[in-house]
Amino acid sequence: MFARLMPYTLVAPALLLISTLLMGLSSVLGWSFQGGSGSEAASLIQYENLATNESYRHFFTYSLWLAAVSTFVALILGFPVAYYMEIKASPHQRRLIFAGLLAMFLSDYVLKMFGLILILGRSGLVNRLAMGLGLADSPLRLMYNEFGVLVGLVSGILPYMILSLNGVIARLDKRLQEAAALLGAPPWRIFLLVTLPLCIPGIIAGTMLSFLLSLNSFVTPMLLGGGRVDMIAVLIFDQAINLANLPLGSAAAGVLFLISGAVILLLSLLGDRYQKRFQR
Amino acid sequence: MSRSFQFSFLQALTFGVLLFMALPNLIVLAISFNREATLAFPPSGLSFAWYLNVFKTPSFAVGLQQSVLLATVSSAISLALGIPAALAIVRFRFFGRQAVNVFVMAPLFVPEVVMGIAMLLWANAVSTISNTTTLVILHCLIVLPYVVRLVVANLQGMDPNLENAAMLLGARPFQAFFRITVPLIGKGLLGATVFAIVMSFHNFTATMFLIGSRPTLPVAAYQYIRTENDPTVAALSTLMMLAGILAVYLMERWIGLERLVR
Amino acid sequence: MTTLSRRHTLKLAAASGLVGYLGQIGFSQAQAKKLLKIIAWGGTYGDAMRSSWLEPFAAASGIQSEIQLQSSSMETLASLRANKNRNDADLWFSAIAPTSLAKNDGLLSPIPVGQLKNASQLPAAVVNDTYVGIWSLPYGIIYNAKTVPFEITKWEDLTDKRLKGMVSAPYGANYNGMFIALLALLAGGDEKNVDPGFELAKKMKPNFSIFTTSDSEQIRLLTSGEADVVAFAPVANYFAARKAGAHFRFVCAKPYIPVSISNVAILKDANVEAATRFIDFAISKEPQQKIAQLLGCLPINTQSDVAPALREAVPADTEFRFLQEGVMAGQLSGWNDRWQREIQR
Repeated sequence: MFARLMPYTLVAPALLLISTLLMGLSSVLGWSFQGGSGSEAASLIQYENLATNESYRHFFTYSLWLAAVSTFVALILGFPVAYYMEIKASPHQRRLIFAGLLAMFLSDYVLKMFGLILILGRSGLVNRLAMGLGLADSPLRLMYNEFGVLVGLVSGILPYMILSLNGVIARLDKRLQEAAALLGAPPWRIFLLVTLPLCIPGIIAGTMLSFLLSLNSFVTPMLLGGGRVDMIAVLIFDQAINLANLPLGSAAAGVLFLISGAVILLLSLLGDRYQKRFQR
Repeated sequence: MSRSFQFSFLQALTFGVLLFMALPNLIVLAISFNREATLAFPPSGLSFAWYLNVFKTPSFAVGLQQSVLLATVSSAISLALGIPAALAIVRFRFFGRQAVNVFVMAPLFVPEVVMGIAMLLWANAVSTISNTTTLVILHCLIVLPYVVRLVVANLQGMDPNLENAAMLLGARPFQAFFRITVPLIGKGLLGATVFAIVMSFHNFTATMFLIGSRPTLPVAAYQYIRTENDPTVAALSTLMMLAGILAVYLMERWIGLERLVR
Repeated sequence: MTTLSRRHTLKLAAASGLVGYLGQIGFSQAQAKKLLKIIAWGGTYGDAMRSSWLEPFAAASGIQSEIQLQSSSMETLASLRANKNRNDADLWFSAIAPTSLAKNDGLLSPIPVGQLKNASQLPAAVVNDTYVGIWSLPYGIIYNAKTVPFEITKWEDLTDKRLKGMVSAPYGANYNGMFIALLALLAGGDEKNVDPGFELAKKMKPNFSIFTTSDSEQIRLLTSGEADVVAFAPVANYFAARKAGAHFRFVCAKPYIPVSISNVAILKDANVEAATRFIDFAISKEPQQKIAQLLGCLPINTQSDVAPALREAVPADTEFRFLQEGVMAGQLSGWNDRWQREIQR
C-alpha cells in the first residue's frame, strides 16, 4: 500500500504548485467572459471586440508578422553559425563558441536591448561609423521604428535558434554526405538534398522556440519601438495594467494562449510527419 | 582554392553573426567606463564612478535584494518540489505517470505574458497574499519545469541498481537516497540550482505584471533605461555579465554545458 | 559519473545558510526602520525632492523617507488598483486626474487638512482631503535650435512640414490627456469634445517620430539627440535639458499655454501622522522656494518667490490656461485607445 502511494506522495507538492497556475489561467478565462459595465452574465463581447476592432486586430496580425520575419532572419543567420561550430570548427574553437553562446543565452535580455539602443541610436555606433565613413549625411533612423524592433527580436532569439540547430547538426551522419560526394554531387546539392533535410527536426524546434519568444516580446517594442510598433504583450500589459481593463486584457491573453498552442501543435505535427516519412 | 574560399566565407559569416550577438554587450562594457554623464560612444575618458553609482542608486539596491531573495527562495522551493517529482517519474511506474510528466512541464507551454496576468488575477482572488509571495510562486512555476527536466536527465544517467544494492544491504529508502543518489547526481543538482537561479534572476515579462512597490533588478534596470541618460545601467550591466560568466563557468564544471541544452 | 564529496555538500549548505541569514538581516532592518515610503518621479524631480524636502525633513523631524520610482502616475494608479491591499507606500505624488480616479476606487486615506499648519498660505482650490497641491508646471514646446531650421513660436508650428520626423509627442493619454485636451481647445473643441483636436493631431502626425510616457524620457530623447522637438513638455524639462547644452529653447507657445498642478495624496493603510507632517513641511515657504528654484516650477505657496530663471523662460505676460482635469479624468482610457490607433500608428 505504502509503495503504491509513494510516487503520488512524491509528485503531489509539485502538482499543487502547478495547480496555482491552472487556477490563474481559469481566472483569465473567467475575466475574459465578463461583459464589462457591471453585468454579471458571461458574454463574448471582449472577444468580439478583439475580432472586430481593427485597432486590436492589428496588434495580433502585426505581432505575428514581426515574429515570422525575425524567426526567418534568425534561421538564416543562425544556421551557418551552428553548421560552422559543429562541422568545421576545431574542438577548442567549438568549446569557445559554445561558452560564448551560453553566456549570451544567460545574459539579461533588458540589458541586451540597452546595448542595442547604444548601437542603433542617432548618436550610436552605427550612425557614427556611417557618418564617419561618409556613407550618410545625417543620422539614420535605426530604432524607434519597425527596423529597430526587428533587430532587437533577432538578437534576442539567435542564441535559442543556434542552440536548437547545433543539436541536430552534431548528430548528422557524415557518411551520408561523404557518400553523396563520392557519387559526384556538387557541394551545394549535397547541402540542399542531404544535409538540410537531415536538419529539419532542429529547424522545426528552433523555429517554434524563436517564434514564440518573439511573439511574446514586451521589452523590445517598449525600448526600441518608440510607441510605434504594436505587439500583443504591450496590448495585454496596457489593457490589464495601465488602463485597468482586465476583461479585455484577459481576452487578449486568452487569444495569445490559443495562438501559441496552435503554433506548438502545428509545428510538432509537422515534425512528426516529417520523421515518419523519413523513416520510411 | 574554391574550397578554402568556401571555408573562409563560412568563417566570416559565423564571425559576423557572433559579433552581432556580442556587440551589445561589448559596447555596454565600453560605455560603463565613460567619464561623462552621457551614453556617447566612444567614451571620452576612463572612470569608475558609474560602478560606485550602481551601489548608490536606491532602486538598484532594492532590486538586487528582491531579485536575490526571489532567485534563492524560488529555486530552493523548486528543487524541493522538483527532485521528488523527478524521482517518481524516473523510478516508479504508476498510473497517470505520463499525465504527471506533461503536467509538470505545463508552464513551458504558457506564454510569459499569459502567465503574468494569470498569476496577477490569482493573487487578486486570494487577496491576502503578499506581493513578494506571489512573485515567489510565479518564479517557482517558471523554474520548476527546467529543474525537473535536468534532474530527470541526471537520474536516467545513473544506475538504479546502486540504490537497490544499498537497500538490499539494509539501508532504508531515505538513507539510500541521501547516501547514494544525492552524491551521484550531486553535480547535476548543483547545475540545476545555478540554472534555476539564473532563470529566476533574469525573468522580466511575467514579473513585470506583478511588480508592486519593490521592483526586481531587471525591472529596475528597465525603468532606469527609460528615464535616465547616464552610464549607470552600463556599469550594472557589466557587473551582471560578470555574474553570468561565473554562472556559465560553474555550470560547465558541474554539469557540462552540452547537457544543459540537449 | 561525477560525484559530490561531503566537503562540497557542507560548503554548499554553509553558503545557502549564509544567503538565508543575509536575507533575514535585510528584511528585519527594513522592518525596524519604519521608513516613510514615497512614490514619486525619478530624474530631476527625485533629486530635487530629496534635497529640498526629504533630507531637510529628516533633519527636522527624525523621520527618514525614501522614494520609490514611478515612470508615470497613471502606471502607478494601475499598479495600486491591481495590487489592492498589498501596497506598502505612504505618499503618492501625482496629478489631479489620477488622484480623483484613485479616490473613487478607495485607494486613498483622507488627508487631515486641519493639521496642515501651512495650508492657509496655499490657494484654497488646491487643498482638500483628497490631495494637496505641491507645485504647478507650465507646459510648452522644447526644441533643439541647432537642428530645427526655424523659430517655433506657436502650437500651430507643430504642423510645419519642415519638422518631418523630428517631433516627440506624448504616448497615448499620458500627461493626463492634457496634450489631447489642449489640441481640442486650439482647434475649437473643448475637454468634452476632442474630435477637432484629433483632426489637428493628424496634421502633425508626419512630424511625430517617437511617443514618450515620462518627463525623464523626454529629457533623455532631447539630450541624446533622438528627438529635436518635444511637443508637450513641462518647463522643468527645459531646465534639465539646458544642463546638457545651451542650444535648447523653451517656447511659451501662442496663443496660451496650459498649466497643470501636481499634487500629493496619502495612500490607504499609510502612516497618516508622519505623512501629514511631511506634506506640511513640503508646502511651507522655504522648501517650496527651494524646489521651485531647482525644478523651475511655480511654487504652490503664495508667499514663496518665483525663481528668476523661470521668469526668464516664462515671461510674466504669458497667458495661462487651466484645463478641467476633473472632466478629463473619466475619458482618458478612451482617448488613449484613440490616440494609439489614429495618431501613433
